Amino acid sequence: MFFNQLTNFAQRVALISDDETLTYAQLQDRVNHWLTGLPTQRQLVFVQMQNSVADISFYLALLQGGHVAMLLAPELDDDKLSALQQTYQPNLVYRAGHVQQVSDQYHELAPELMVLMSTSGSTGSAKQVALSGQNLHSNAVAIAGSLPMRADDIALTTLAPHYVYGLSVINSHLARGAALRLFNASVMSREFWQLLEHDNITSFAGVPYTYNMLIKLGFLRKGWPSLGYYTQAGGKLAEAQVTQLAEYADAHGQEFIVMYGQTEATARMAVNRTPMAKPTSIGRAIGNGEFQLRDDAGHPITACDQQGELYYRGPNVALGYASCITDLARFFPQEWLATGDMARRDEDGDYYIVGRKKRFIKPFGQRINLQDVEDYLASAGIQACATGNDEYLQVAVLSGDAIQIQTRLQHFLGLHPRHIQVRQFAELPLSSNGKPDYPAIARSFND
Amino acid sequence: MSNQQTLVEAFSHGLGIDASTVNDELAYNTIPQWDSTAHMILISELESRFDVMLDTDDIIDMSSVAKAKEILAKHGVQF
Repeated sequence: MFFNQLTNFAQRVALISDDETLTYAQLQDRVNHWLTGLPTQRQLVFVQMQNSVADISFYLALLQGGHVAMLLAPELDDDKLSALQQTYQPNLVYRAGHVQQVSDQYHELAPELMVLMSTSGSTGSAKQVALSGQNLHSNAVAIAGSLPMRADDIALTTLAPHYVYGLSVINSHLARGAALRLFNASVMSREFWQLLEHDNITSFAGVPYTYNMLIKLGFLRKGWPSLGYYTQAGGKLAEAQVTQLAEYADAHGQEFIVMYGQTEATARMAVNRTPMAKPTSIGRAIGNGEFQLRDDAGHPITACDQQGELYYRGPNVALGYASCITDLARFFPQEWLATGDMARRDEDGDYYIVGRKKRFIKPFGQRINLQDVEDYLASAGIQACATGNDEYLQVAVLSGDAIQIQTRLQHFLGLHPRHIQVRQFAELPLSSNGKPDYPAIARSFND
Repeated sequence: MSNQQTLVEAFSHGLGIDASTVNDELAYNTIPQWDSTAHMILISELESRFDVMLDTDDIIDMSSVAKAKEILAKHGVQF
């Protein structure tokens, strides 16, 4: 596993922070330091993780020590954190270089389990995706192999590590023996532009929103000679922007790379290295992964240009889900992951996402489960139907003040109110089977 | 509407906050609503309401309401 083999790259640079530069050997020393303070019995550990030397070395110590790490947003508020603690009873809680023991209770933890990650960012949802060491390792290696990644690369950590795409940037570079320039601010900070100009950054990663901001901030107006490539995943970037970035990269001897992934696949499943030719494609499966399209009856679709639900199998398919501590005792992994995305394949074998089957939306690459929104409002006594697209969350309600509900959702989801539309309906449209008619609700918002 | 009122409205809409909480000391990242996402929405609010084009440095430097006034003044908006 990559996390046990750091010293293979002994004298190469692993991490660069504002204050120090660590070789892989020095990083292992830091890991050893943490390991000596950790109990030998397997611990369930909450880790509020940032891109820092302390946090990454602690995370690696948990992996090397065979513990189980739940990676959480550092900005998670106390209420959400304590609710999660109630649900999972962690032994240790880590934050900003400090470990606190909160429980010495023994938990039955599945032997292969290593990392737990939420799919919904900062809402503090109890639902976690369970990942094994093999998941993390195979995906790190597949990602490194699918990109023009070199051992002398320096990647800027533009994404948060409690987000699976951000974590995969760390894992894949450590697997390759490359370096990470640690950074926690947004591309909107002055620091980002200074690092890009002066610190020999060769790559970075972004979600659609990152690239929208970069374009707005004038990224395409300069040359950035040290940059080699940059990846985009975490949702669909508009075709015009993919083309703009791909053409810019090509003209400057760089590469813009479109990828596709999910937390349930440990991060990334596909890569499109030719977005100039096929700007709307996610490309093909990486590593030992494999895609399959299935029709409504669950039969594989072999013809090209026919839509079906996208399934994926590979060593990076997660162990499963957990919603409470007892769920961590054992897992029954599925061979094929149902992505919930509808897709088609062209005659060259490249895949295209055409829509969603599962009920979630992704404004700013932040996945919002529409069922969670409905459940949350129901718990406040508000009957609602949630729908939407990658721009707007659209909520139909029978009662309540629309502005107030919008504000509630703003705080619950951490989503800008401009992207939350709430409308009162005299009655909620139902389809013939008596279920909410979501397409009709969406139409009434979009008219 | 005075430029001051327009500014308050741009911040209130751009950040999704109550107009009464907009004052010169209000700064980027000091309230949860003023994050990088909201910042870009704020920028387009300011650009359309004052009919100005802000460049990279302006956008990055706009770290408080007071700073926004300073930057807008540079673009000919008087407060």
